[in-house]
Amino acid sequence: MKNVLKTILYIIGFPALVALVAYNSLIVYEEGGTYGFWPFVGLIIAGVCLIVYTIIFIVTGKNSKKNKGNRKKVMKSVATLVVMSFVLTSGIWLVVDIVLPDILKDATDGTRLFHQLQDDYDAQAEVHGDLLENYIRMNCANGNLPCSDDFTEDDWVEAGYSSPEVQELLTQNFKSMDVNGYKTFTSNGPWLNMANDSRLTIPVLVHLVLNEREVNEEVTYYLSCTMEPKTLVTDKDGDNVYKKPVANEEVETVLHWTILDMQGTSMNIDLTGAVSGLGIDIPGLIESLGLGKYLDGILGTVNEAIADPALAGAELYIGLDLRNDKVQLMLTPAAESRGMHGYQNSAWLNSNNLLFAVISIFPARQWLYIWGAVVIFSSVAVAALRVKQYGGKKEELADIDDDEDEPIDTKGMNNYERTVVSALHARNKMK
Amino acid sequence: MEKVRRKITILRVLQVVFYALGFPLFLHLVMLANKPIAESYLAGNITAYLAIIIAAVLWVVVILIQLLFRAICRKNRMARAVWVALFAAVITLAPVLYSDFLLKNQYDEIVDKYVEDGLSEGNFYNYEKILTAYNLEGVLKNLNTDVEEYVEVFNLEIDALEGKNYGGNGDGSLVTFDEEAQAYYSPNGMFSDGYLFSLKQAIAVQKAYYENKLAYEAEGKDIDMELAKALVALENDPSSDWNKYKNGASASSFDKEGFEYIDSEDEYELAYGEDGYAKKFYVTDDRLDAIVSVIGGKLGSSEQVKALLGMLPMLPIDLPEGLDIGSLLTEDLTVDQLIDVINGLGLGKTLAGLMGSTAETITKDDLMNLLAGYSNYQSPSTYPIFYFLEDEALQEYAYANYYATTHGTKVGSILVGEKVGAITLDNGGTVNPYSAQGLLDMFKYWDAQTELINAVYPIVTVRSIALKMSASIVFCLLAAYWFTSKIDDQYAMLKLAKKQ
Repeated sequence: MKNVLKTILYIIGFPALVALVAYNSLIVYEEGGTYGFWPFVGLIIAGVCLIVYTIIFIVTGKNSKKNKGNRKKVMKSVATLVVMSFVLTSGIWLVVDIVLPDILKDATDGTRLFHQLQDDYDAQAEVHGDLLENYIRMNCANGNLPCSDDFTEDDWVEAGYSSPEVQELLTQNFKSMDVNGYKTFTSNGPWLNMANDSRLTIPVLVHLVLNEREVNEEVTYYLSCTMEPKTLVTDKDGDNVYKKPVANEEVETVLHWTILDMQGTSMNIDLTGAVSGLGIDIPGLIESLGLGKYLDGILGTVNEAIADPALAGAELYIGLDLRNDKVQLMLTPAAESRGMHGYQNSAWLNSNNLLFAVISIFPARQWLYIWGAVVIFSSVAVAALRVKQYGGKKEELADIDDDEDEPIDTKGMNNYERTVVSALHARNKMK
Repeated sequence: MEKVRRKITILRVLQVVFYALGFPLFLHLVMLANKPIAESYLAGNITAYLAIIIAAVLWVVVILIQLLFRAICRKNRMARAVWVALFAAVITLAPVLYSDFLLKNQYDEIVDKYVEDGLSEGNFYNYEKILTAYNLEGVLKNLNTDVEEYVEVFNLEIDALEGKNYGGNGDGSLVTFDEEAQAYYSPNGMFSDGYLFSLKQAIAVQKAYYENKLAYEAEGKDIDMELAKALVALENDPSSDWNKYKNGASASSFDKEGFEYIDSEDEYELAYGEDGYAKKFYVTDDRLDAIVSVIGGKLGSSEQVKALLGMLPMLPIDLPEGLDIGSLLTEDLTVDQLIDVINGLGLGKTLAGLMGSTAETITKDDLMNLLAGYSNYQSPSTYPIFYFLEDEALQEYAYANYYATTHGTKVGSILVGEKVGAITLDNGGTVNPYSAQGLLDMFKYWDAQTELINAVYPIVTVRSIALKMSASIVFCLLAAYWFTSKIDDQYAMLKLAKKQ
């Protein structure tokens, strides 16, 4: 009966804990399923702890049985089990929690912080899963990942990172963005860091656009088609859709990147107020004179000029959004049409396997903390059973101390006098 | 015997409880009371915790006295307890007595100093009111609110009041951090390219700017005009230090005392000469011409542009006679021609207005000046022209003006003018709510409060707790001693009982 009880207690301890970790990590496995063993790192850590605990559980059990009747040895053995149940659950993490925030901050250049992942690992797993899915969809759209009836876009998404083509494309194209983009900005002043920190002032923008930057001609980018965003948007429901992709003659090209590519987002500047100050109804004028067909081409020419080395030296699409009686200047980066996220997301995607490993640690950490109490409780319960089973009888407690001195002669004294004399004697001895 | 053991346990608990109710509780309460000082943006690293340090020192002194009397009064426990209690009383009352009889003078001296310097007496509580924790907390909270407002207006960072460096200098020159000044510096002694002002430096820049400006105004002069004249003089005088510097003259030939080149005599030429590295970082005349040429060439070859130009007469724009924009749109288009077109289209006045000018047309110089506001680059490895100004006040103002406007525009923290803070493509800055004198007075008040935080408030904080706890500390210490002696007695009983 006791053995059955011990087995039940063992199961509701560490094995249940590992099952909880696995259950709570399902979203991580789902989102990062194509990254091999990396999303399972947290479970592996919990599993290793389970193995160590099980070995200790068995060894201490056998030890207790072997020393049946020797209460001291049995106590030592069960104490080891209880202490290790603490060390392998909360104990490790109390130490890891001290160093992990700094390690995580360094590893992600401060873009992912401990507190962001601590309890919100589900959402982060989804973010990092979406990064890969969106990357694949962007590259299917521009033809970098060829789709056919036999192998559709969804097949690419399903294959994910396990596809060698996806891995190769990601590695090569991120290198271009990193070496010929990000590093050219960071090696030439503090401007990019300021832009990333909501300090994209006009001088900073001018520096980012016009500063001369050196590009490594040996680092190429794979781009099978060129897609350009529609520059003039006037339809009420029209989105900033891309024009029909045009196949590139050279698919391996040296690309230059702009600050907006690094940020990965369009910049919309509302000119409605400024234009109304001029007293001209620009949208009305464009519509009445049918200027739209010219403006589209003119904006395309401006975009060509911007891509000239004398200006930005990199493609940046200027567009006009004239919907809803507004005049908005749209600055659209080339990154998306090239099949890239902004730099930070691209850098994460490039290290997504490691990030999934880090994310997977958090459910393990959380449940090792939470269920740790149950593991310790079950270990204590098992320990009590073992002591009862193998520990023999409880020894008589030794008395406080043995005074070897001669007794004080208190004959003839009353109780009060005897107490005072004895107390003074004891105190003097202590000194 | 079990009964005695239980009694010993109870006595031990009481001994610990009463000891904890003495100095440990005192220290804990001081920590709580010190919170407003610890959270004050104006408190220094040590001052923020000075009250706690003082309380801890008082406790340590009492512990040392306990040890001392343990050695002196080896046998007489009662005497030991009495002496320790006496010293504890004196030590805990010391901050109270010091505050009430000596610190008041210090407080009044500091307040008087700033009142004489122009601050209103109404800015300060009298000393007796400051002794009340509620009032002190109110003063410190209001102070923090003022700092937070200031930081928000000028777009500094509340989490980086010690300043921030966004990265290395553009030219790769060394950036050094001066902890005392809370600033990152370039080799030329100016702030580094990516330096976001610390609170200390933002205040210093604004003080230098407004104090000099107001001093000139008081003499009926416009400091901006005086500065512009002095700079033109430096530029136009071939024998000025500035021109000597640009030409790489021998350091000994400079009038400026102790002048030394940063790196070498050709440092200016290396930065701003024909192939100067600094030219990579701003729009030069040549660069602007190249940009205009590309725009001219591209637009000129565009069919849509040609078609649109053909429609110009239909647009509500008065075109000057003889202006043929189409023929100008070639790779040979120059900045001057572009300006002619702009003026010809009547847009010159609008652009001039944007630059704050009332002129009807714009010139190439206007355009370059406009660009200089957004595209300039002061090499961190060369001196700026104002380094060579002889007039110290003008020089101080010139540096402050550069930091507050040009550097401030760059880092998104403009410190002077009608619109301050960050000016970006979609944000026109914050309306400056401070007047020059108002700002200087606020800084003066902050200086006064900083002095008081350093010299007065920590002791006042210790006083407020010591006053309430002095008697209870003495009582609790005595009680702890008494319980100790009772424990000894019980041990003696235990032995006695055993022997009988």
